[in-house]
Amino acid sequence: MERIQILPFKKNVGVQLGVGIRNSALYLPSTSLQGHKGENWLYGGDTGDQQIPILELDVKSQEPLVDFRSETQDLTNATDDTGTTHESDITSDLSDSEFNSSRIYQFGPEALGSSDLDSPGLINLFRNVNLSSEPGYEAKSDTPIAAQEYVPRNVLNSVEGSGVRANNAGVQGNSHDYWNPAQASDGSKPPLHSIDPTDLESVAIGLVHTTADLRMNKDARHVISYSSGDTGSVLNLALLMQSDAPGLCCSSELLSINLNSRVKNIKFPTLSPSFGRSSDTLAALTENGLTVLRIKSIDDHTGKLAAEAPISLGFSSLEDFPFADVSFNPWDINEFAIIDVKGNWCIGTRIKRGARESRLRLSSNKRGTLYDPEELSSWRRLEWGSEYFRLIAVSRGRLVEIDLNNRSQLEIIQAKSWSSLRDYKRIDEQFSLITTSKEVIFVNLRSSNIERILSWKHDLNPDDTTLKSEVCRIVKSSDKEHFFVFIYSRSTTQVWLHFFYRNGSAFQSTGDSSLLEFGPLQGGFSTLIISQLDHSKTVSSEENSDHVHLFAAARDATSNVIWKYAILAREFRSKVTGGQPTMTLLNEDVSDVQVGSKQDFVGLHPFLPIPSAGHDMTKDIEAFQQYGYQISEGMNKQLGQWTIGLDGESLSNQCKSVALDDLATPIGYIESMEEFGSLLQQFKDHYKDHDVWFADMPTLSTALLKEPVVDLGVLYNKLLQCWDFGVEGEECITRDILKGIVMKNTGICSVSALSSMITLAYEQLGQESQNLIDVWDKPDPIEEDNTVPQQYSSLFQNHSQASQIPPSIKSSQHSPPKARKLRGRSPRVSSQSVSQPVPSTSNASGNTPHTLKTHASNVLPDTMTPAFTLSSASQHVPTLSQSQNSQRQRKKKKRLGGFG
Amino acid sequence: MFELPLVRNTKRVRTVRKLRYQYINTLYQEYRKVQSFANANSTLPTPENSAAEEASDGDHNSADATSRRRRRKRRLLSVLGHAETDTELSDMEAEEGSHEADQADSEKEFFTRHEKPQETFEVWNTDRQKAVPMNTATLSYDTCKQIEKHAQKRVSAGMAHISKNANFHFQAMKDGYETVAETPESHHLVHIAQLNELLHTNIMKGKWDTAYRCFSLLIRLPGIDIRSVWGPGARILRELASNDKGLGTSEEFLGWLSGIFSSRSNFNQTMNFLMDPVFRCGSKTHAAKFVVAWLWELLFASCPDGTEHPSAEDASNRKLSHLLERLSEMVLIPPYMEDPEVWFIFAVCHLVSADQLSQRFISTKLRTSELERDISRNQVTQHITNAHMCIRTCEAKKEEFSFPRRIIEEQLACFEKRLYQNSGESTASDLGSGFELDNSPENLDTQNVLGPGMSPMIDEEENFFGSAEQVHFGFDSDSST
Repeated sequence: MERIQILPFKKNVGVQLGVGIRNSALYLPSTSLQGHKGENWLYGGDTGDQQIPILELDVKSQEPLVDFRSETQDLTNATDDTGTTHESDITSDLSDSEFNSSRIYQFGPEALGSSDLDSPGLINLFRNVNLSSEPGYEAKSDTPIAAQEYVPRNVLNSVEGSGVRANNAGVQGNSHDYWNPAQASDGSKPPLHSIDPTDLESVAIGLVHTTADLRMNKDARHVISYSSGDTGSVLNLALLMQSDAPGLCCSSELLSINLNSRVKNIKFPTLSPSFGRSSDTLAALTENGLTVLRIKSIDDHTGKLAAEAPISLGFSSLEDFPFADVSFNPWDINEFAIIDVKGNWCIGTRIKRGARESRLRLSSNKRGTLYDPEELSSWRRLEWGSEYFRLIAVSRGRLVEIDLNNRSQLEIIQAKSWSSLRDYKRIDEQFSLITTSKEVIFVNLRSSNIERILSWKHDLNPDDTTLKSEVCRIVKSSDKEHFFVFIYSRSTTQVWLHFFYRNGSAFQSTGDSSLLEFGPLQGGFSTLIISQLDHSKTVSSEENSDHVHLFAAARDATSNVIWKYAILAREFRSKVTGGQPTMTLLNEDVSDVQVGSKQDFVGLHPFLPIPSAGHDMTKDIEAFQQYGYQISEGMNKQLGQWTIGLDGESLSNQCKSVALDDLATPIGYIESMEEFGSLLQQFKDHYKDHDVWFADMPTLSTALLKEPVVDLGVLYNKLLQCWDFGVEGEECITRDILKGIVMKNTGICSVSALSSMITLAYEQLGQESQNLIDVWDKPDPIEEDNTVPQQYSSLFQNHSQASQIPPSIKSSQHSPPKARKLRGRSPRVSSQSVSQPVPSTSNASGNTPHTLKTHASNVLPDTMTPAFTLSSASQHVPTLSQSQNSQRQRKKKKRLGGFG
Repeated sequence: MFELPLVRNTKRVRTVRKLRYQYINTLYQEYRKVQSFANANSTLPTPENSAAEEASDGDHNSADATSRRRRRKRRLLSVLGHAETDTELSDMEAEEGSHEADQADSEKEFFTRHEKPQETFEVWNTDRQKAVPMNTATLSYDTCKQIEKHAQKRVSAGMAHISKNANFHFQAMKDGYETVAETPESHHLVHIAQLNELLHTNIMKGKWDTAYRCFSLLIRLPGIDIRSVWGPGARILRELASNDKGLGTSEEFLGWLSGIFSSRSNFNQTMNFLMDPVFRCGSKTHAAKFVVAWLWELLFASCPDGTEHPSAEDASNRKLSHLLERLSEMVLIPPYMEDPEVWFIFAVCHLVSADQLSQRFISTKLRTSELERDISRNQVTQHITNAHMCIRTCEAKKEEFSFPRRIIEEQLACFEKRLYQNSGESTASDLGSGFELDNSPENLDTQNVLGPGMSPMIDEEENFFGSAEQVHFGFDSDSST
């Protein structure tokens, strides 16, 4: 058997590649005999520099291929025999008229003829009763498969009226709402979500060759099949026709079959190319069985499809578990195989004897189980292998090849440790593509032993269980093939794409992966089908050029539209290397937006601060000086305001803190954050004597960096290390942001005002409450006056202590003159309240916290953790709510007294 | 949407993980019990049955000898017609006893039955000879429900106090559903996720500058394992280093990684790992992927694409001899001494050296003295001998390594012939007259026919194996033609 991979590889490992890995190369010696000069290597992971030109694909046009939102509306409207004329009036009156598929029941005038109510026409007893005429809910006795006896959550929701929005999105979107404890009703993404993994394909496109067409020597036709309806239980078939626009369009003639059960998987058989024809059947797996449908004829002009009566096989015919996947034998039109959610599989045949109706029969000896108690997910795939007697059964943890001739099975892959299987695609008899949570792997199944040829680590989120793959093979010549591997998921609208190239016996990965952005999908893909449809037309042009034209049909996870896309090869990109013009991330994205996609990008550039060119230290100093004046003026004004109405009603206003921003206009462009920090520090130090409290730097830095940093300069440098905006002038932006943060968030409040506020509040209390507070700790009435300010000073000391810790980095050694100037300029506030007992800061920091700490074990009322901790552990003071704190303070006081 | 280069180990993740393994283990035990009953009761032991059972035993639980003995005893009893009630009871008791231990580390227990592979993410078994008899009995609904009911009963004891979220996860998982990946909540994680996304998308778009920024930021964040993102890093550096001299090259980066992260540790199968070792790290039995990648990159760098041989190759020669030295040291220690790929690289190194040295003999530009020619002739011969030796060692390693041996042997033979082409043309003519004609450029067009063919390697492989004018050297081919 021919070796597929010429490049060196290990058995069971293959050529193992990923981003940045181009291992496993072959040396091409320098005999200068080669046609390609200057190439010494045949890489496993070619980056596309020399050997194989990179194809870049682009998603071009997109338009709906099938839009069945309107169909359901038509359907219901057609069944409405009464009151259709009035209905539109009513729905227009109602605010939530978007529920087109719902029927509104009302009492017509004839029914209410005897009513006393003088109604103009209609009376709505209920505001809105949505009764869905959905076939999935109907219980019919004569259907081949018994309908389910349950009321779907949907129905209840829509009757209640609360969950009507989910009516459109929920079920059809396949985001199987299992039960969800934290389901958000407002349409926002719920925190948790479970998905039914057996919901495989709700759309399928396949080639159909009817017997009549075969006789007439006509080509096979593309037929699209999809499920629709609220419960997804109607199977629709339509012919895809060539239209004027590029790509295909869906014929208007639709064949709809009600299967009375949710359609989970639609499959068209692909026959082996040796047959030279396509099949005329398709299979649909529903929640409770398998339905096989045979297409009798296709009308040439109208595109009308006619099908034989569907034949079904109930889920109970095998082992009472729902079927998970079905597959047709590529070498035998009438043979198929099914697998159920627990791994029981069986071969079946479609038999037709004489005039009797054809039926499906399961084989009694070609069956078995792959049940694995260690496998919980019900996701299963079943495909035919390299021979007519080989089956490939895939579950999340295993890939098993079943040999029906030898009656043996081989567990090819056991994925139970680092990864799990995500998808399996059969490319042809020889190649298969396995997608795991970590890699995409090409496998050769045809050789005497299975060969793992080439794998590529795709770096996609391994937790995403909804990854599915799609392969498109483009044959250039007999042994030159391109493989386009697409990976899509329900969680994103971007599709991962990677190229592989086979040239004779060299299987290579080419270029880097790329992402394709698909247009107006909401949520991710539930199914993506990519095929190269028009073989006949473009095959000649393709041989000499790299022109690739792919057709994609996608059904997204939340809407009822199937979109079609054209994917075209872009012009070869000029290889982008390091010396790229300085394009920024944000601006480039604007130009990259595909036409028609709804994303709005705002050019951020104009709003960003720009580093000014000729800036030096002198300008900084000027700015600082200017700002120093302004801020101290503002502060003095504020101090004045605080002292004015100390006794009046405006006391509550006094207690409000102001930000640094409110005092003066923010400082302009500066470059030295260290200097700015020390300016602020001096400012704070200066006004601390004036009984003013400032929010300190560690509080801000903890919020930003989770570590207390005292110095603004240090904080700035730390932020620079971890902020990267991907644009020019990052330092400037960081400075601006940090400046803004400091200005806005450095709170200033007056301690003296607070203390008088306390007394005021105390006085305002009723006698009863006052007594209660008095009795609380039985404080000395004399002591009362003293404790309050002290207590508060100690409370605020907690915050301000850190700012008193000498800054670790220089605090403006070379600018004492400026500081002196600042201090000299600031007028002493004459009206500073001397009457208030002003605790000296050194005293407070020296004694109070220390004593507090020594008694902490006795004092703490419960084991509550402190709201925040300070930088140094020795000054650890728990700050709790006000009352607790005061209580503790009093307790402590008492004890102190006791000791004293 | 991309894989995060760190471990997300929240409490919920741990709980769900633990519950999952616990449930799986109990299911497994219950299933074995049911299966053994079924086997014992329904059929008499046949060779086929036993073979299947032995095979599954060997697969899963070779250590569990006691349970097998117990099962065999039970089967014998059933064959003899004895009731199995009391044995079942004792069985239950025994398992209940071990149940406490299960809870301690159900994950470990799970992995006593399964190998943790190091080379690949999955355990691959591609040998069709190893197929086991098909399991023809299907699993009935009753049996399955019985197993699940029992298992759930046993697991539910530990589930009384788990969070709502974890419970939801577990219930969904139990019923065969899958949960959607959660988006990270904490700011730190969001930051990492965004950076990671930007890193990957920018690599895909080929914006290497931005990608480099993301990369350098990402690896500085706490909790990030640089070994999880070395691939993107090497890729970015490979693009950028050629233009920016300030940056290290990708070889240097990979060399740094290989120096920092040792491969001397043992891979402990019984430990619970949160991240895979496949691309991330090495052990005594697994050559780290970045080391192998580094060796390849060094090899590529020592003989870069696009250079015109043999002039101006001093730098690359130096690199090559460095690499040869390094490799000769590396193959003395595990895991490299057992890794056929490293031996193969070693062989290719010798091949490249032989090629470059032997170039001098056919090139007309370089006129050298007879003494120098003798020296380099000796060198070439030595390289060729070494290459043969390395290839033999590579093939002798237990892991099967396949490479186009014939092509390499042919190449080596060609190099050998170059040495003597001037002195004895007659000896070389039967093997590939293309090499002599090579000197005159007007003959280049005929060389596709004449040359034993390096060029067909690019286009069609058949010529190597199938063409009639091919010279066969008598080495056994690595592939059947």
